[in-house]
Amino acid sequence: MKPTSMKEIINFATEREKDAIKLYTDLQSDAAFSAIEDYLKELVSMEKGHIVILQDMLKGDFEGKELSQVPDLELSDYFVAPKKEGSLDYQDVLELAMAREQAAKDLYTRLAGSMEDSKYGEMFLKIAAEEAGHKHHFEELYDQEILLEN
Amino acid sequence: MALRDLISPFYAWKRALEKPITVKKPLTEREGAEHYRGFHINDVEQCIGCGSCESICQNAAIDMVPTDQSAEKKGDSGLRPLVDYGRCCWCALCVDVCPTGSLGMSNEYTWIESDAEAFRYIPGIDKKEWDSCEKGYRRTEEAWIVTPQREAMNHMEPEERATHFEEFTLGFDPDKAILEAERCLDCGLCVQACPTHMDIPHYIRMIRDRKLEEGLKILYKTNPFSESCGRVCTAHCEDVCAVGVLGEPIAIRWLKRHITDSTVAKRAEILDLKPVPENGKHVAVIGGGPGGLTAAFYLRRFGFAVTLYESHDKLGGMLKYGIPDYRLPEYALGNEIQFILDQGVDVHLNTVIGKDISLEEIDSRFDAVLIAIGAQKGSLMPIEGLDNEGVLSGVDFLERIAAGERPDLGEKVAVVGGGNTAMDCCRSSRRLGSEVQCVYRRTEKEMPANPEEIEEAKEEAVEFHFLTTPTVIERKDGKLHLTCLEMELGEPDESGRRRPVPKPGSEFTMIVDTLLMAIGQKIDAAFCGDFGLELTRWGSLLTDGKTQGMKKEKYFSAGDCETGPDDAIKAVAAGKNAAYHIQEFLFPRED
Repeated sequence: MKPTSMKEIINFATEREKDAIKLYTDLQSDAAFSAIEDYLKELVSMEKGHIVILQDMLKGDFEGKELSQVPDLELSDYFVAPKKEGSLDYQDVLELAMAREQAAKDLYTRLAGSMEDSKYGEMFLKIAAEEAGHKHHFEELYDQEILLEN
Repeated sequence: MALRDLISPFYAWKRALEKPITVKKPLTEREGAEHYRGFHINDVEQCIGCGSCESICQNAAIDMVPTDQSAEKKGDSGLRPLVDYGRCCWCALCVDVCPTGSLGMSNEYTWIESDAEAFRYIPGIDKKEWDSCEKGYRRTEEAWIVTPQREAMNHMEPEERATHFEEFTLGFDPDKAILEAERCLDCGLCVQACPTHMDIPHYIRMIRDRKLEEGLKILYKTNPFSESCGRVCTAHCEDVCAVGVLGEPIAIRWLKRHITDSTVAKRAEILDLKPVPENGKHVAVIGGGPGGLTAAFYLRRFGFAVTLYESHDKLGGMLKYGIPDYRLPEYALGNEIQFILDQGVDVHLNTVIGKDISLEEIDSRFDAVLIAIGAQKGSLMPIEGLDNEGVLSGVDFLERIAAGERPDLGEKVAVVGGGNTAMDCCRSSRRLGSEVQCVYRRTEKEMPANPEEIEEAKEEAVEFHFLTTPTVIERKDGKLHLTCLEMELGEPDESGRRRPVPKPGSEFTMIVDTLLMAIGQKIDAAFCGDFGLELTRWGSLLTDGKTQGMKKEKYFSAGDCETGPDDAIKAVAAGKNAAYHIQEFLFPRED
């Protein structure tokens, strides 16, 4: 990707969030029971919230803001690709969400490194930090609710 | 009347203008001796409101009272001692019995006050000038009325016990049980901490008074699994035992076991439970674990007809299929289950709901339905190579052990996890002759297993790798090669918890024959969801929490399937509570 404006970067990231919205929407038919369907709907709302954050980044003075350090439990680094069909339970959904946020974080970090214009690189790093924060949210849930005895 | 009688009142006035003989402070200021027993002081932060001071006071000079500065919480009644100096004889028994050492006496002994009520105050709360007095009387180790060490129970040595599945704890003999019971302060903090609120001080008193039959009756008022709990209870009671603050807590679990073991041959005769007339209502209980069976027991005692469905070929749930014989022998669990069934419970074994009988059919046949199916499905950590031969779920492994299988696990076994299931996997594997390494992602401090189980596993030569996790499993030359990462605790998060993160460059390989994954359990209640019962995202059945009733009328839930994986005593408590509320539902009281 060779962006020519900040808006182009934000639109690119927004499209990725829309992909996530589609993923969580499609998965609802594979939910093992209705509470999981509801949780997937919550994730859709969360992703919509992320789009708003991205749009706000365009409005705000992002250059003045420092990159936040997000803790990383690195669970998704060594977890295998999650299942995306069949009867999905809470653990499956968290694994899917962690993997998705990890992929997004990796993508933006990679793009940041490939930018010739440092201003664009910095923007991608900020979006990557956002995604890392989302990933950490799911990793924390997994750590305390799934890995109960580990 | 004599003249003197008439004038004597006036005679008394003759000294009205003289200097009074009584003085406000008659004593010259003289400091009390260094260890003088003067006015009380109390460190209210250290005090747990056990009331031992109140109980021991021979003059009833101490009352335990609520204060604004002490709140009730687990292990603390929230009450603090109020001392009445109109009654106190300064004997210091209250100080000598105090299990926390919070109560002491200053060496202040003079106090002038015109308001008599002021001489009743709460040391440490009602501020006094001697609060910070260093001198005075403090309890010494020699003077402590409490015996801080518990009586040792007979048990097999680790080398011997790790070779078989026989029970290795042998119980108290009568003399030791009495000595141990005599350590109890009778404070009752344990009652509040026990999920089913067993009357612990009362049954301990019965041991002390050599009335074990009475003790058994007390046990059955709140817990029909006392024989099992006397062996494997997580003993929330001991966690809060007042004696345990500075000494070893009373061995409440072993004392309970002493009662049940000593009376087992005459249990039915002692309890003498008369048949209760049937009340015409029929309740279905789905699940024959501690929650379901406890509910069945009390429902029968309330007069309900009870039909119980169990998917396995034996009853007991996780007590049977999750705890090996060396901790809970089959005969002990069997005794209790048989006693429950003898109350007239209709049992259907090998019956899977949704397959052998539908929930719709149950719905049409019963006046109320209690679902107590537990959380018996092992969770797996999704790392590469999970499908390799030799990788087993810890829960499934323990179920095989419970069924009498003695699989060959090979020379070396790795167990992943740090809960009680993991400890049972470790120790069972040792008994099958394997060398065992336990791999746990956090530190020993965070292990959810009982400290006693961890200690016993260590004694049985289980090797622990803390702050370690496997990341890849490969099978090479008939062995499992586990790629492991060492972890370190990261920065505290918003909740203050430090979570484990991989240590860069710490990768190493562990070679084993079998890997047992025991990282947690989950609930498989899909048939409930299909029937329209509300589940939470964690797969547990959604109830109102208090009555354990579900949104769908006449449905109740109890135990792990309602709360998520937890211990047996909580399932017992939930079963008892559900039985009570089912009765309330079917026979509402007219208030």
